[in-house]
Amino acid sequence: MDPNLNSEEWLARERELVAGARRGDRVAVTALYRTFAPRIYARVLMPRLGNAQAAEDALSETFRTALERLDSFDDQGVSIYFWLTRIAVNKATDMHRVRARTRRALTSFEELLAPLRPSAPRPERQLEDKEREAMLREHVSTVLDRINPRYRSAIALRFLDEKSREECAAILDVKLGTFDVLLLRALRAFRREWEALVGAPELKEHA
Amino acid sequence: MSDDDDIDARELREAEALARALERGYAADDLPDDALQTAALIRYSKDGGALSEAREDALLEEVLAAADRAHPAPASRWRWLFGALGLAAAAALLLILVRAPDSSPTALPAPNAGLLEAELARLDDPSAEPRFDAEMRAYRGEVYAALERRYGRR
Repeated sequence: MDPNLNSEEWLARERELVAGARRGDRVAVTALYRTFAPRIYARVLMPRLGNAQAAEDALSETFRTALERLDSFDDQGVSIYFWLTRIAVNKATDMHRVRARTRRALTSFEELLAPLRPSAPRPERQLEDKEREAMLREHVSTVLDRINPRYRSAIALRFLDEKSREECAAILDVKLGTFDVLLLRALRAFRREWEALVGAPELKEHA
Repeated sequence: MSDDDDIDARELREAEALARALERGYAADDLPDDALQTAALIRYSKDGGALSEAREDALLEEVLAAADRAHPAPASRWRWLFGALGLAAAAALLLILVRAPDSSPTALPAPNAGLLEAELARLDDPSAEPRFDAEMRAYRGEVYAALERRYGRR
């Protein structure tokens, strides 16, 4: 269930769960995790890391850190979700900071998503995620329709149908190395059209 | 543009680095961030970055393990308490044993030769009875003294 995070009813329930988690109550920890982990993963970590494995690691670390620091959490009348989100953002930033050493392929596509986001996010809205997902799919579909059909096929096979490189190369009847180049060009063509459709992102460095 | 027209060495290196990054999550030197970013966006559009149920459960186990480490379970605390109580009981028992009186038989003084001779004399000559009584009184005094040293005066 996706609770209305600003409702008094939810905040009262959340305070009980936080008190339980402070005592080490596994049921309370599980309830908080089930409520917030999926949305922190989808809304905060995946757009900042662009790598499922890294996002999972960051999610796990976020909750571990939160449990360690739970005694210092003061709700001030708002959901713990916002506190968890700040921890998650810091975890993602830390991962980018050590990227040169870990050699993990991390990328933030937050800026590409930004133009699709409402100017005033309303985390209490249950339908917002679904609406945003639908809007994103629609924009991706529109951009795919605008690019060279061969590029469209390369992207669709590799990312939407989740075919392996070898399968993609076989279907498109090219060598593996040629498919890699085709995909690179396809992605760059997609990006140009994306920026033309939704606006170019401001380039931001992750320190 | 055909697929393999005008492929220069740099583009080839970037394409290979991108393929490795998408397949194994490894970032090589020539990884083109613009293409990786775009690929991540397209992948994300498919399911909105949904965390699979199996992965959600697996990560929950890690989180619960961390919670258990931060707050040892009550059963564990009781185990420590019982351990401490057991140790205290053992120490108390040891103290009692150390401080308890010796339960071995009291070593009573052996009758001296005078008492034995008086005993023999009395069997042959009833007039030797007073001598025996005197020896016996003396011996009885020694026995009482030994018992008093062991158990104290009652």
